[in-house]
Amino acid sequence: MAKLIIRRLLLGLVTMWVVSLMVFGTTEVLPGDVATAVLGQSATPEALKAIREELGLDRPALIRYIEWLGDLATGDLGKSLATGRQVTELINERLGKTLILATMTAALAVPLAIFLGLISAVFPGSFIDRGISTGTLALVSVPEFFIASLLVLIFAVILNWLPAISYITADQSLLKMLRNLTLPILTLTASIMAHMTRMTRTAVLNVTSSSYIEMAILKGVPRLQIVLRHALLNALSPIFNVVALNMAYLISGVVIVETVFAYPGIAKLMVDAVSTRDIPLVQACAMLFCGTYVGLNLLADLFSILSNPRLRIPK
Amino acid sequence: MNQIDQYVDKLAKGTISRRGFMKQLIALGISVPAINGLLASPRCAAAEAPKYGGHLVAVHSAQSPSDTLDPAAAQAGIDACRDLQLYNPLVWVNEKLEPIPELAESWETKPGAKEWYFNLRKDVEFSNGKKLEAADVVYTVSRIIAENSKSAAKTLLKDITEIKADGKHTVKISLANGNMDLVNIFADYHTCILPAGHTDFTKPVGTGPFRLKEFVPGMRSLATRNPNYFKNGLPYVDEVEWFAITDGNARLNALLSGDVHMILELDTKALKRVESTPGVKAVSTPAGQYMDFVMMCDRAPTDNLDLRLGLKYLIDRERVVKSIYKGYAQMGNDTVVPPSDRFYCDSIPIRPYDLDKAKYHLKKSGIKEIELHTSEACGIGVTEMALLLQQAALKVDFKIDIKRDPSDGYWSSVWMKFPFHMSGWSAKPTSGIMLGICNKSDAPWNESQWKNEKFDQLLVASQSETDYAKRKALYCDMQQLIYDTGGTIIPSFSNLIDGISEKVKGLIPVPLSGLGGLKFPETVWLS
Repeated sequence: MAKLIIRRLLLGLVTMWVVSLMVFGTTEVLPGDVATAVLGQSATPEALKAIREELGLDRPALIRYIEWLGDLATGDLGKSLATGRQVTELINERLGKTLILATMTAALAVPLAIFLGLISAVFPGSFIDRGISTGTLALVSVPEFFIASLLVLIFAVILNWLPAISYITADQSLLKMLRNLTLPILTLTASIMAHMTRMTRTAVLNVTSSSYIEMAILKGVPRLQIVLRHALLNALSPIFNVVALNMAYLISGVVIVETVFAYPGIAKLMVDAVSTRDIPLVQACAMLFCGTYVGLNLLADLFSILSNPRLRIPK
Repeated sequence: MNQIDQYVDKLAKGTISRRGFMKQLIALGISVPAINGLLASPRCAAAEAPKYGGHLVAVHSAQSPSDTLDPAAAQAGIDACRDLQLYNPLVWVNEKLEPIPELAESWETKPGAKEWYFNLRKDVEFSNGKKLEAADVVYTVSRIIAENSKSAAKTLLKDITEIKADGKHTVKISLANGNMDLVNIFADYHTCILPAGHTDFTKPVGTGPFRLKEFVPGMRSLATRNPNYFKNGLPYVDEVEWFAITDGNARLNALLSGDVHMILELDTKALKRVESTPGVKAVSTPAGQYMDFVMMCDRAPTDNLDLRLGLKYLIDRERVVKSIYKGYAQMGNDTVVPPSDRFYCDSIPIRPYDLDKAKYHLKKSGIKEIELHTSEACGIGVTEMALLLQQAALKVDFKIDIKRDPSDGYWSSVWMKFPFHMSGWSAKPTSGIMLGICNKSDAPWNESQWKNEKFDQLLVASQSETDYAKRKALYCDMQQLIYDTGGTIIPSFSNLIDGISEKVKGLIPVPLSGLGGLKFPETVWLS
């Protein structure tokens, strides 16, 4: 078991290293650099040169990569080029907000999706199953910005019940924070639910076609009990995986929701950093997102192993 | 009589504007002098009396983690508003862009405009208790013109050869070349005055109407009223919250839902919605910002004068104003000076949309097609403008191939690289500065690379001419030169359009930028 975990961790590190190469390579080939981005239309050759020299951008890429990797390994994310502030500081400001939104969305979306998936699995082909399937599919097919704009139009502009933008601060009460976050949470829930609901349904139905379930049916066990007691436990592994994927998406990919609700999250930070060519910040965000995916997948695998004794002994 | 009373009540409560009040009463058949009498009565006057207190929420259109409270290093409007909350410039400008006193109560220059004296107010105090002195101004300006300075205002002030205190409250500035625009430059937010020696901008010290309470770059700032502000009675609101909502729709929604009081930059497409929603309104200010077609004069094919003239006759300026800006714009005449500017030359008629002349010049040029680069980076409506030109060109059998480039990197990899491309400029403090930036032969941002010795001479002469009438004549000659052979098509100057809640009163429009030149926190109140 311990060996398995260590192997997984090492593999994760290798993945991160490959990603670091890609991240560095990609940021190198972006047209323009921080100097042109900072000065924009007002760039003069002298000003460009001054900024480049000051930031050390005139040195070879390989040297800069090795330095960066070394700093990264020791936890030093460096200074943001555009602001001169510590990257860790910038990320900390946003990461907390992103985590709040992600956790709250997950707290609503995950149980709801699994519940709906189970209902579909209990009554496959029924009216309810089709309703759930069509409903969640319809929601996921509508682009996020459309759902978000529609919710804002109805609840903020017309009814005036909820704010159109979601600015949260540390000194807000939980109730006010919830009120501010309701619309983004609903939007995100709509866009991630279908995936999880359908995976739950499929995984559970897959298991129910195996022979031991057939046995249970022949024995006369009620349908609900078969699904909950015999099928669900064996179907948990793919469900964990899909939940992990969606969680990682909530942390790294919600830039549209952050834009529409003017929510200062980390995905927006990265997009802004790309447009200002703030390379250390872009790289740090990319590595953070990659780490999130690797970490959450690792966690999902661990849970799968825990839920399925057969996986505990590697073949 | 009853009806009149009703309107007076409405006015007192602020549910109807003074103008609306006038209109209604005129409709009732009341004469204008009588209405003016009514307006002067205490009941109506109360309607316009400013109210103290309240938390003002205003939003800009862009922000980034590189936002700064160092005025010299400021890059964008989001910084400008904060600078004007916390600090003051030496000078400010009125609706006509004429300089008015701010930290400097007066100024004078010798003939030739090379030697300047700025007399400071004596009653101004920084937020740390220190009194404002000439040394503070010397420090602020020296910081901007220092060799290692990266300030955007550095080029504006590059002619300063010496700045020194002349007594405790007078600053003497010597210039290498005469410059009548110097006063206006000191209204630029980059030149906001700092206390001498100050370097820590996480703890700003300024003379401004507000004091910093909270600031997270790229997120928001919160500032509270400065009770010791040197302008008596100002500001009115207790707190100003200032941040950006990048997405235009989200910004509009925030205004419509009442979450914020003021938003910068309304898309013309959103005007209808704002006008039909009670409680909010659009505010429009004619200004000097524009989008233009750049025809670079130093390379083929746009070095051909006939091609340039042909293209200039092809743009339907009236239609640009009507359809792209819904009327919220002024027609341009291919020079950087907008008709609303005091130095605009009325004697040059605006170049008409004339297909025959266009055809004549294009045929003479021998060129049949051209590639036009455009990008949303230039401004809202840039694509529509390019398409308008393309459609007109089709009518004279000329082919314009539009290449749309991404906003990201447009200024570094497209602008001033291709012979025919689009560009956009925000207004500068004066049209003289704009002419220097865009048309002077050796200016680094002379985007069309149009070089004219006579123009350069006129520009220098106009800068040291202290007589207004003579100065205006020189401006006219410069505009004529650009009009005749210049390398830019400037079809229009778009107005600054902002959205505000009707609760917000006291906004003074300034053509420098939307929301009263971003100095609104000082003068507005919430009714």
